[in-house]
Amino acid sequence: MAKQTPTIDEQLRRLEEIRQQLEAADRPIEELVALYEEGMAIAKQLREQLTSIRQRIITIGGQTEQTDTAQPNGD
Amino acid sequence: MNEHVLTVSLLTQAISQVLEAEFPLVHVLGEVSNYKRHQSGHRYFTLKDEGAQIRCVLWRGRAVPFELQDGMQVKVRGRLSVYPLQGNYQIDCWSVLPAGIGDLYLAFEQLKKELAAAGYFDPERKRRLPRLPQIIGVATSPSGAAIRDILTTLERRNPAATVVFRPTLVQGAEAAEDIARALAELESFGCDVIIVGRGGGSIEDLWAFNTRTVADAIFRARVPIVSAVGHETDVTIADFVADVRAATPTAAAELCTPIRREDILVWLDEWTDRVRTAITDRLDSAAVLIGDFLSPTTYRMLTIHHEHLRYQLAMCIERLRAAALRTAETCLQQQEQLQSAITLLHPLGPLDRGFALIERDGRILSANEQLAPGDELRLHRRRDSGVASIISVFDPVYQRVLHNGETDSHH
Repeated sequence: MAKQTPTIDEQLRRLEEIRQQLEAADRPIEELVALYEEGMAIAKQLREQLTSIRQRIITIGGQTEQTDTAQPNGD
Repeated sequence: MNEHVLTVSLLTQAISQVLEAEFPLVHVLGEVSNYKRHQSGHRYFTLKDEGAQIRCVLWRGRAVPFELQDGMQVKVRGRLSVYPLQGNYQIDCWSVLPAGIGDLYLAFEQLKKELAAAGYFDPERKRRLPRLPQIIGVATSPSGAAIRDILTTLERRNPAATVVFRPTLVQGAEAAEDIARALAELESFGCDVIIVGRGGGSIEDLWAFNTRTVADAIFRARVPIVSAVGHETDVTIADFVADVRAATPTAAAELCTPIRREDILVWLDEWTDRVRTAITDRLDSAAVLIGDFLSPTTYRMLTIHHEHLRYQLAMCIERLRAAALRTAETCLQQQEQLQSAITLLHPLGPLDRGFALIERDGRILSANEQLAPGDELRLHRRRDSGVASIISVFDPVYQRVLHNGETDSHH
């Protein structure tokens, strides 16, 4: 599973970080404006993602019908 | 002595024939001891009571509904067989059943005690569930209500999470092994949390979840495990080892989605409000802002421009003030002129210059009215008034008498 794009959780944490930095306001205004714009873009993207997403179900493996399959590694 | 001598093999063969012919089917009750599960899958144990013991074998493929444990009371069903190589006899078991529900509980309590001692249930090793798992693993039967409940609950609360479903045997001889495999497969798939469980059933149905195999699998897992076995009242060993025990499959799905999609959307709205307020507050402190934000040159230019505008404004005010003053002076002059005009027109004005007003019969005489001898007139001057009688009346041009005093006065 390649995880290129940040997860929802990562994005939420980033937003929380941005909010704290903007509220602390202890950086030059250029940086604050850049943070604000970054945050707004993330929030917009997240909102779109969340409202459009559908549940994805992947089925893996499967139960074996025979009950006496030899086990390669017992305990 | 000429005894009949037998070889060991022949004797053993004879014993074997006797025993196997005599005991083709036995039901034996006893306590399990020396239980061993061989690499090959065959299981060996000794069945004993206070006075005797007998070896037993349970070949691979012969299912038991639970994991045998030393000390368990069981009822085995099988036939007697002889193992010539070791010179012993044993029960070749077809099935092993618990001698009573009480023994299952005993087995349960034993394993529980053992695992507790080994630290399997320690609260310190319980992991917290991720607040927003990306991939949720599910190990349960494909045919039960459990999988349906889990999938619908996960979809309702957080459809953003991918569900990886591993259909799993949850009942029967192979269930414990299959559950253990399922957990390993789901973990290697990259699940952030795994739900393992099944719907309700009898203690035998749920037994796989009371086995050491499943307990070990949960214990070894590197991702948090949520157990959901049976109903709320059913508690299995798996529940004790799991990081979180859910009362039902639905509850397990809820525990894996502590933050719902709606929660995130509401949070995003609040976030937007707070961040907007923060940036606006910052932008409002303009004095500091301009110093930081603009280049020194731009700042200086703006300052100069600002000064220039201020100068222009001051000039405008000055001009307005001058204009207003001029207007006021003009007004004053005009007012004085009007004042004198009014003074001239005032009926009493001429009195100041020595003229008098003449009143006859209570009113001022106009220029067109004529005097008549005998008129009693009142003369009004600036400072005094007096009464006079007309003796005679003259034509002002020819200085001749128009009327004499003897004519009658009129009223």
